[in-house]
Amino acid sequence: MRATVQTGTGRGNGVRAPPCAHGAALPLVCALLALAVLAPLLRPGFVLVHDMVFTPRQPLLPASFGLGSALPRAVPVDAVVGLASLVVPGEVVQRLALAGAVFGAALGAGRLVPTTSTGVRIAAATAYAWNPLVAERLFLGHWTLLLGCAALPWVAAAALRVRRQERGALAGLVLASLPALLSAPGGLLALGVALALAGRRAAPALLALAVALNAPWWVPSLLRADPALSDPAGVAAFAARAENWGGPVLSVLGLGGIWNADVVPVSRANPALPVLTVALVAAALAGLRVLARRWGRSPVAGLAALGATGVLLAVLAVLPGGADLLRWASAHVPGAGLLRDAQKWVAWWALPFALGFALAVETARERVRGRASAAVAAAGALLPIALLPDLAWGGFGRLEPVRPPADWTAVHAVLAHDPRPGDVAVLPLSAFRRFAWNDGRTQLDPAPRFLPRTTITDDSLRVGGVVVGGEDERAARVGALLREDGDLTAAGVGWVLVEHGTPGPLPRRTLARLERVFDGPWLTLYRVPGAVGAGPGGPAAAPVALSWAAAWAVICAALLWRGLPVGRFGLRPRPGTATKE
Amino acid sequence: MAGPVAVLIVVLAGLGVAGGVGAALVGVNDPDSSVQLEQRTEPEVIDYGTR
Repeated sequence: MRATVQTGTGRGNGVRAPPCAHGAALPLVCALLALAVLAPLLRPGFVLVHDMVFTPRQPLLPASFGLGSALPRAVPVDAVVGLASLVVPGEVVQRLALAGAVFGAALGAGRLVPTTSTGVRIAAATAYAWNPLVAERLFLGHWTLLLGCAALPWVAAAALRVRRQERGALAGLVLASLPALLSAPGGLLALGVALALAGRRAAPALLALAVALNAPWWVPSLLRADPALSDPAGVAAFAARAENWGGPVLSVLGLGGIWNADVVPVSRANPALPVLTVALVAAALAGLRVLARRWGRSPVAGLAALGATGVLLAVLAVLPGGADLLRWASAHVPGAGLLRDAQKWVAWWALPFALGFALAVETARERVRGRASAAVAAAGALLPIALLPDLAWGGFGRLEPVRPPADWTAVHAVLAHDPRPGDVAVLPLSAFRRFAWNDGRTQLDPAPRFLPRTTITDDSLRVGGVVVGGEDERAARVGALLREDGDLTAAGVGWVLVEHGTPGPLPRRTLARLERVFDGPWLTLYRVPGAVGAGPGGPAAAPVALSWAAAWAVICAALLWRGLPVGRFGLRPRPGTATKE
Repeated sequence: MAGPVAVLIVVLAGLGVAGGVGAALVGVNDPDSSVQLEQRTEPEVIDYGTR
């Protein structure tokens, strides 16, 4: 028995895309959604909030490519942003990234849902781009994860084409995955969606592509001298959290439940939310049955199973025995830190949730007539916004562009022009800052992405007073030297930067013997006397370079395949149908 | 069949709007939170977040 696999993109043998007039409506609504969320970014400056740091020109340092001593958590994104900010200012890069994340997510979901109704497409767009996952991750500054989420509907569409064995489909899948590949979780999210939808026959090829495309972060992780283990204390600190009386599981099912209460929109305390979440999940599951009739049972079963896996991973730390399992994995399994802050894996549930919700709206709409039909579609499209009004306008004050003080540019100039070698130790010993010039928002230390040299900052984290140990042994060693007035030059430290106006202890005794070379209201830069030794090396450069070459080779091959006529010869087109498995 | 579905959706949307606005108002005007703000002292090291 053969069944047609339909997508909403109008390609292949699926449901045709709506006429042009409707075709313009969806991108327009998606642009309005992005504008509604990011309107404060129309003003100049940088939004610096929690983990989101952008600077005028991010330096390209060894750590940007995975060659630093710390875990390559920001690889390859730091290299990509560094290269991008060579071409356009960092402010523009930030706006392109954030707007692309919201707009791309909405448009991708709207195009993916197999329907002829623009209203239903808009419902899918709002459900996927206007939800607690987007809000909480945006306010926590996890913009690379949001780009990964935005890529998922496009990856899904490409994977369905791979399933139909369309010509050039794998190349399209590679290109659709690119925004997700900026971070390790994004790459794994994209791989999961591709595997779920492309079918078993494509799995070996997909795994091989994923190995090559994600090599820039996993190769340096494997090459580290010390295993990439993480502090088991992080399991409880970053476990999913109840946002209302419904508990953590219902919070996660509703795409919320992030560990950090500071970034949760107030509307998540809505007392009606647990009941509404149950209703919405039921509606989404009903909609997935409609989706199965249009795509075929196998891909939808794969997508639903992936969603269930995402929810399970997200709530694992709050299930009986789950926390013990995760603590053991953190202490003994290298890379298990990816399961820390596991609420992010709920992104796998967000896609089937949005598609199912939209098709439930379509079903409801078909059961009414006349104006009521339009009202149902409008209610379906507006419901995600009504449930989370405080995502609008950057969370009403959470995202506000600011200008870093001129001290930063001055210190950058000193370090760029002084020939004296040495890395920069940054004080206070704390990963996060709270400056008056950023309205006291908690933000990651901007020094590593502002200064033209390798910086050493404390990478331990405090969550509600509980300290979660860092993973960079060099940072711990330099921190001890600073506190005990040890020999910094032997550790490769030639400079010490003190950031003022932010809480944290300062080792006064150590600072007293250093040479002050810049002193401003916000920053003081010290030179460490004596000959500076070589800092500890990172992973071997050759295999890391090979990992980048492998990823680039796959990307370039995909670009050539899609962009040049070479991709149009060879295989003959196959019928746009696939056999139901 | 058609009527109840539409009514259900409208009721859900209404509940959502009312609850969201209500929660936002409570959050803004909660007297406990303003007292906590006044009593907050500057920490030695900044928390990444709170639970």
